[in-house]
Amino acid sequence: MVKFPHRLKSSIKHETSGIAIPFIAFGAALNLSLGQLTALIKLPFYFDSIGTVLVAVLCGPWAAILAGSVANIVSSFMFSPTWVFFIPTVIAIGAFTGFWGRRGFFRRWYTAVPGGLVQGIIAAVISAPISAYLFSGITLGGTDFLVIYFRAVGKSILESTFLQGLASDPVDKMLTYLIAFLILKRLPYRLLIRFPRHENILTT
Amino acid sequence: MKTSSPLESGSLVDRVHPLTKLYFCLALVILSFFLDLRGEAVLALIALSLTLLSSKRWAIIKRFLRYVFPVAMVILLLNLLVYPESPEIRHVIGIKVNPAGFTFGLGVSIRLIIISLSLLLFFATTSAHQLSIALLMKGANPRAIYVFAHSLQMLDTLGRKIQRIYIAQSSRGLKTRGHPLKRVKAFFPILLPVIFSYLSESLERGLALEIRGLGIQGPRSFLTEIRESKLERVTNRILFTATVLIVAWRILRWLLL
Repeated sequence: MVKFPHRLKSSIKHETSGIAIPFIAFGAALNLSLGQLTALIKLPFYFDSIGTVLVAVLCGPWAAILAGSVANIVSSFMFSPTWVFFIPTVIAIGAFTGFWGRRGFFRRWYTAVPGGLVQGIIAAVISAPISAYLFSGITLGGTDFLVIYFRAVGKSILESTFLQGLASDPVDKMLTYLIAFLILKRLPYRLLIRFPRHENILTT
Repeated sequence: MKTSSPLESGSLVDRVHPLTKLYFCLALVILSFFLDLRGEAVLALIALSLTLLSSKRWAIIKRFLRYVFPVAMVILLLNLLVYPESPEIRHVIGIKVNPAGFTFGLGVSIRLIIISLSLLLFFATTSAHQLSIALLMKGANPRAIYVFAHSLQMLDTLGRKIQRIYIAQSSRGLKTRGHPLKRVKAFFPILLPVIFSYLSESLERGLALEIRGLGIQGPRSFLTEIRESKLERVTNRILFTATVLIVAWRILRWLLL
């Protein structure tokens, strides 16, 4: 059995106990259900990582990694089996957002949103080789035409998927961070104080 | 207290222990990256045969045709027509095609078919409940398993709740059509009630879970048990050894040639 260092073990336990456990499950389900809401009001975005971002800020990076990974596994159960291969991307999203939240950057919109930009670039870097080597860059998503365009102008598969990710991910993640910030701002104090990482949002 | 095992109905493929199915599926996925075109074709045939033997064959084929087949075909076609890595071009009925691109696209498409078929087979023939029990009995973290099972359950209720709140807010005069800015504004009045209601629920549920001993250490008993047979245990070992040997052999061949 793997023996974790004590601090790491207690950090994981702190982030995944009490209110955090059902909230992590909610975060995972929210990632998958928001597509339904954006389809209802016809918005051209997926916002498929808002749940992970909320969990990362309120509970911490370990909880967010769990929420994101579970969302992708559940998605493989319910929809397309290929989702499971993008777990490394959601691990990066959870870890980075947890780090960004710990620095207190989700207290102000102008410090939260740039995090989305960095997050988008990280997501593009990690998704590109998965998308390139597993699916040759084609996932039947709305941005496939960009991959086809970059291939047609002579770029390699890896370059094309990376450029496509760079064109779409930063915008999506910046908006995700902004929405997460607006939601967190509206949460009542009595609820917020119950979360393991409430200090990420509340100022002393 | 022990009750009946949930693995008593369906075809032979359906009744195999969930972890044996998972190991088999992982073996197919890993090997698809290490074998050549002929090897990949054999793996694809194995995955297809097992799919046809399962009782969920039509559901798997339906999802395969909906999500995977179009992607595989686009990959093949795209690499056939656009493949900047190789300059060799041939003309087939007046269309410029790239033979190296075709071989590459075929390899990627077959790999995608193997991966998708084996994962679809696993997910279709294994219920989340069975998988949760099997993993818990192998010593998996109960918190992680709870998150997995609860989010699957919540997916349905959350979808219905979003729909209900959307209808309620629309009837109160919320504009959800028209200019994009109006639609963006409608996003929050629908999303926030959903989040608030689940936050309150999370508080109560979190407390209930701790009281019921989700976080306690030590051995646990199970209301429903799923045990591995001797044959399944041997199969798991053979799968593991064979996968490691094939991967090692392929890596050695790449290094030597």
